[in-house]
This record gives sequence, C-alpha cells and structure tokens, in this order.
Amino acid sequence: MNYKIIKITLFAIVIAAMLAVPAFMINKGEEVLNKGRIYIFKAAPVDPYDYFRGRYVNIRIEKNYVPVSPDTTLDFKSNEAVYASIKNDKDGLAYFDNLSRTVPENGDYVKVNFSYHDKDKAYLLIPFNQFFMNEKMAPEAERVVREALLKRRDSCVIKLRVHNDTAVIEDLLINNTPIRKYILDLQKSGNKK
Amino acid sequence: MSDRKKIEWLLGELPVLKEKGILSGENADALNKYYQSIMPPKANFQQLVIMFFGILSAALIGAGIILIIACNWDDIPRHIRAGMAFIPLLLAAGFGGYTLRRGKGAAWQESAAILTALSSAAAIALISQTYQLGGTLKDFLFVWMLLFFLLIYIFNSAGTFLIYAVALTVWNFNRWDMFSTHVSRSDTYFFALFIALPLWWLIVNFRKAPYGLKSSLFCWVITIFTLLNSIHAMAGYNDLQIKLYWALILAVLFLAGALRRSGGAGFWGNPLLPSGAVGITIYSAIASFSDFWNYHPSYYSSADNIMYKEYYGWVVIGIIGAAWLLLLVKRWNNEVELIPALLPLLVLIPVLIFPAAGGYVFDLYLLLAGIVFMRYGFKKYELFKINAGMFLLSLLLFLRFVDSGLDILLRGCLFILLGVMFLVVNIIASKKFKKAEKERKEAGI
Repeated sequence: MNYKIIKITLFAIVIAAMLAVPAFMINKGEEVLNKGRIYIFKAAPVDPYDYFRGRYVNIRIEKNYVPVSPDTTLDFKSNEAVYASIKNDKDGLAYFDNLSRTVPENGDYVKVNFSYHDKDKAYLLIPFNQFFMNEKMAPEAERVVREALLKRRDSCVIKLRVHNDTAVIEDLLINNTPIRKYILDLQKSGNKK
Repeated sequence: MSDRKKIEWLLGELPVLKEKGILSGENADALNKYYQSIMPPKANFQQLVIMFFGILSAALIGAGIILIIACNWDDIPRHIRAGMAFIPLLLAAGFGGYTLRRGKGAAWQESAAILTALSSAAAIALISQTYQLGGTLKDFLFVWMLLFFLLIYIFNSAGTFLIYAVALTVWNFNRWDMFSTHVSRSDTYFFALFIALPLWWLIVNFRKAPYGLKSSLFCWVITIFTLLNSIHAMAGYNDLQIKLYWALILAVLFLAGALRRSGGAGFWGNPLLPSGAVGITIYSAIASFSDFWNYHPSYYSSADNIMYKEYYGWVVIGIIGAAWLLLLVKRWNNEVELIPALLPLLVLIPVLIFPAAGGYVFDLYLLLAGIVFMRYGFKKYELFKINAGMFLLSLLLFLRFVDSGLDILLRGCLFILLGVMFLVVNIIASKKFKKAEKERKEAGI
C-alpha cells in the first residue's frame, strides 16, 4: 500500500478516536442528567481562572469526608482511587457514607480519591469541584457564593446528579435558587446583596 | 566538528594535495565526487523559521478558537454548545487531510499536527465544561496523550513531540505527589508505555541526521525531560533502587553525550554530556557524606505495594543498566570518560557490600577523578580538563572541611590557597602548552 494512503488512513483513525471521546462524554453527561438521582451537598468556597476551560467557580463540598469511628483503622493509601457511597441525612442533605475499593452493591456512589484519615473523619479528594459559568457572570457568582458561605447569611448548596460512578454538577443553588437566576434577579432589582 | 564540516575541510584540502602531487587528479576528482554525494545537507534556517512560524500560527489559531468557544454562552442550548466543541477538531481534520493528500511541506505538517492535537484537547475540555463533568488534569492528559501521539508519526512533527513531552511530564507529576502514600500500579505501567510510544519516531529521526539541528533540539528535550521526570520516575521505590537509578541515568546521559561528541556534535547540540557530567559531580559530592548511605527504607514503599515496586523498580534499573553497559562498551577505551561512567559500579559497593564505607568510597572517587583529569589535561594539553580535575579536588577539600567544623579563619586561608593554586596551575599550564605548541611548529609537526 502506498505510504501516503497509510498515513491518511491512520489520520482518519486518529480523528475518529478524537471525535469518539467527546461523543462518549456527551452520551455519559446526557445519561447522568436524564437518569441520575439528585443529591444536594452543602458547599464551601474558592476561585481561579482556567485558560483552557473558561470561567468557573471553584467550589468545595463541605462534608468532603466519610464519618468513621475514632478507633477505626483504614488501610487506604493517600491518593488511592475508591468508591464513596452517598446517602441523605434527615434534612435532605447528602453526605458520603462509606468507602470501598470495589463497586458498592447497593445505592449510589462516586469514584473519588482517598486523602487522609483524621480521628473520626476519612477525608476525600473529590473531582467535581468546578462549576463552569459565563465568564461575565462568574466573578459575580464568586462574590455571591463567597458571601453566602463566609457570612452564612444565605444557603449555598451543590445540586449533583449521580448515575453509576459518574457525577455531574447540575447547578449551584443560593437560597434554593439556581445561581444564574439568582444573579439575574439581583441585577434586575439593582440590589447587589 | 560536524560531519558536514569535516567533509568541507577535506574537500578544501583536495586541491592542495593535488597541487603537491600527493593525489593524482583522477583520485582527487573521485574523492571529491564521493564526498560531495555523502555530504549532509546544510541546515536550512529559512525553512526552520517558516516551520517555527507555522507552529506558532497553528498554536495561536487553536488557542483563539478554544477561547472563543470556551465563552460558555448561557443563552446557547447545551446540545448546540456540545456540537460547537467539535468545530475546531473538524476544521483541523480537514486541514490535516488536505496537508497529507497534497503532500505539503514541513511547515504545513507541523501546523496540521499541532492544530489537530490542540483541537482534540479543546473538544474534551469543552464537553467536560458544558456537562460539568469535572475530572482531574491527570485523567484529561492521559486520554489526550493516547489520542494525539500518533500525530507525531503521521506528520513527522517535532512540535507535537514537544507538546507530548510537556504533557507527559505534567501527567507524571500529577500521578503522584509528596503527600501520597499510594502510587497507582497501572499508572506506573502507563508511564513506561508513554515513554515507549514516540521512541521509534525518535530513533528514525536521529538516524536520518544524527548531528542535525532537529536532532540537537531532540537532545535538549530528552535531557530536560529525563532529568525532570527522573524526580518522579521512581515514585514508590525503595531507597537503594532510587540511588542506583540516579547513578545509572546520569552515567547514561554522560556516555550518550560522549558518544555524540565523538561523532561531531558541538557543545550546544549536545546537552547530554554537560548535564551528565554535572549530575555525576553533584551525585558524588552528596554521596561522599556518610549519612547518604545510611539506609532509609522509603516512606513510599509501604507494605501493600512493596512486591510490585521491587519488581518494577528492578525492571527499570535493568533496562537503564543494559543501556549503560552498551554505551560503556562503546566508550571503554577512553580513560577520562571511564571514570565518570563507572559511577553505578561504585554505588554498588556501599549498596551491596559495606554501607558504612560509602562516604569514603566517594571521597576516593572524587580524589581519583581529580587526579586522572589533571593528568590527562597535562598530557593532552587540555586546560579545561586540568581545571575540571582541580575543581573536583577543591570540591573534595571543601566538602570535608564543611564536615570538620574547622575554624573560620583557617577556612578563609584555605579558600585563598585554593584560588592561588587555580591561578598558578593555569599560568604554568598555559606557558607549558604555548612552549610545546611552538616546539611542534618548529619541528614542523
């Protein structure tokens, strides 16, 4: 076969793979958004700018740990990939309930990394910690989120959809209002909270 | 001197040899014809400039498209935003296909490869952003590298290789950090795979023009990449393996550099040699402290991973050791290169036989290296080697006096003495070399 044809064929294969990966991600994202169960996590703050991915609000789940009894000995290593089961408490807020190396048989779970164990908490490195927004709206969102979290005047929660081991941040809610709507309402009323 | 320069010199000598009757006109013409045919092409800087701007424009266009699409317009429906993420990739695919079909030149090839690689990264990042999928930089780079590495081969693209080397280094640093006690087994294997992926392309390009501009650039990338990644290459291995690994990798860099220099590579085209030499000196200096050899089982070699770590670590050391042996055999007859190249063997003495003697072994090593370099320098009239030898001896003295807690006044005197010694030896050697040069000229040698 001609050398040129081999190159073109290889290039076509590479392009097909390059198109397939984002297509697979879209499929996964749609599946989670359509079939995933909603969990509401309490948030905690921060922010930078990611040149490659536009503007985002950096968020942190407040309960980024699994409660364990103080005398528990965990054999997980720092940075090890683990499955964290999710449950809801009596107030309807989600928390991580259990850690395992294998896929949990019951209930929803997400794939995270174990961080460290301190007394009654096993801390986790959670990969869904950025909420992307319009670059014009993001700075305002950061201000709103920061004020809500630091002054504890308003509630700030993360609405997460979970399906199989994939989690997607569906929205960031301030006083139960999606953050985009909350900022637009603020701008309309001319009242910068 | 490069191959081209050697041939140019020889061709310049032919008319003289012909005129003096040393070569017949026929023989001179035959030699001229033969060497003209094998002379490597002259480095085409104009082509290089065009290629550089091709790469730059591709990178700028790619980054611009990515930023425009990354705007994250809220008023555009999710599905359309997701579709838009494919636009740069489809454009790059068209551009790449056209370049290949028409057999366009190096600048086009570089641009097409880089644009395609960046567009692929953009598509993944933008979909991740649109669907708020999250994920880590490590996972993103992993998928991206697997997707674009073939572009290096398809377009013979040095720019894409550079992007790959940077991406792999960032990935390597992300797979493990100082606070992690867990190193993923599969990540370790994938790191080895990622190193192997562009190897064939590198070998082919080195063979084409071993001392050309492209090969020199590769040498820089390889040197920086090797040294940076070595910090993390042995993540999770035990103390002894790390010591042996560093001794071997520095000796390999040094020997590969020595081999390149003997083939005609100049200083700027051969970063392997100075980085290996400096690395070996630093290693020896550190190893001359006895504390270095007090065995500290690595914090990272915790029980759960020890088996695979031991096994994998020895495989890595075995491969680098084989490369070291191969190079050592090639450079065996050069006494002055042999001293630094034997570093891994010296490491074995404290590691395998007598850890308490480690510091003394390296004291002796520095002493011997200093003497050999000075002797060689005087013998071959090389001022650089004399100074290198004196530097090693001074370093040894300095290190031992740092250890000894000597009075500050005495230390001051010692430094002055060393400075004077450098000066005096250089003056004496210069005079001696000049005299020898004069005598050689007078004798007509």
